[in-house]
Amino acid sequence: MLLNQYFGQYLLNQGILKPEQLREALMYEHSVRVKLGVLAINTGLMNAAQVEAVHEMQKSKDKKFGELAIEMGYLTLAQLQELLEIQRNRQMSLSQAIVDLGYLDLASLEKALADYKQESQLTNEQWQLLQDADYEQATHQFLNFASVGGIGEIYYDYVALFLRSVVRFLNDHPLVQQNQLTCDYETSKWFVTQNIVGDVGLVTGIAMDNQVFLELARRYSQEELTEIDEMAECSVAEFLNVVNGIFCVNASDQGVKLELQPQIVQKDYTMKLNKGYCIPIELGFGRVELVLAEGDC
Amino acid sequence: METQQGKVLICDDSLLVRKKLRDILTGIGCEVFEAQNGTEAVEVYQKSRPDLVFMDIVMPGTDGLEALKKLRAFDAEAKVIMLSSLGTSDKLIQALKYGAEDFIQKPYTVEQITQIVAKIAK
Repeated sequence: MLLNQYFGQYLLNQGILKPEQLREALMYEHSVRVKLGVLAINTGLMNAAQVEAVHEMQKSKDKKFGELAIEMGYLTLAQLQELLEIQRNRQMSLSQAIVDLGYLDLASLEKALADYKQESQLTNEQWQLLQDADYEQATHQFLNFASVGGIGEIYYDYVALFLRSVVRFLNDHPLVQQNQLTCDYETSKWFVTQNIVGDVGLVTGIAMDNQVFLELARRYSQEELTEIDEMAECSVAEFLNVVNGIFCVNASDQGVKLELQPQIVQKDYTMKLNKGYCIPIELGFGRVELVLAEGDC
Repeated sequence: METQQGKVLICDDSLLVRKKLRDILTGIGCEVFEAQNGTEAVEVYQKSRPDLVFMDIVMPGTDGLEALKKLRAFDAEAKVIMLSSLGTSDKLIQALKYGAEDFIQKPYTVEQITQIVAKIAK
């Protein structure tokens, strides 16, 4: 996952792939990824009813398939490790997807990979580590919240949760881009925001264009939405609300008291931010900008 | 049509949440009433006297915990299930203190909703 993130960003930065080609390749790679549940059935470690029960539980818990399968007594840790090993071996890489879609031929891909490896000075061991990394590591590798001091750790946690939620609720594989410090945030796009208040004050927001807004709304609501109406607005707002709710509950488990204010959906928005960050995130269906700042709007 | 599972009031400011819950509840034979905020919930409750209320917490105007207090002041037997993304221990304790029957954290599953309705209907 993290390797896709690194290599994907390299291909974009070098102009080797266009953003829409990278998105397409990520979608394709995701669509043929061997799901752990399917693998568990194929290997006879779980039956279909058990896999279904884990999927159902995933709707209400922010946990991975394997963690829940162990908690629910369907798999042992050793069995899960065995499945993950098989999955890793069978997993199609982003490189394969890029070649399959005809964006690069084999020789160009090989050159791009070799150039990337050389430029990034990664050892084979580090290369392997990258393939196993998760969103927590990705946020620490790719984002820099140093200028906000101690609160930075909260920002890393928030972004990692946001990325996991994109996988969980939107069935997509997000790619986080480098964050930018911003004081005046201005967008002509849709902007959905919600304040988190309490022991820590945090402005959260997501900005996106019409097409991305509608697709995000469709995916979250699982409704046949054809235009941006009240239902679509409610859907995107509820997505942010659920992410923020999980964030507050996680914080409350660590003794940090947080509350949520109602979400606001608007267009053509300008706001002053105190130590604010704009974090571009590429989704399979377009880009969203995640905005995080101290205080409230 | 005769309702088999009784009358249920949904109070949530989100049109999407109300629609999704309505689909589940009408599917199992409930008669459904809706409110968009706490003030409206109290009004609708007084008129329709539902058997069960699903109540969001974070809403503009009167929030769900305030509305819960008002409902229980009006009817000490009111059965209210808090259904919110904000399932922190503080909110949970407050809700139970004000007399909520139960607390479901969003995102909920269809089973969580139908099981609660079946429990109350008994």
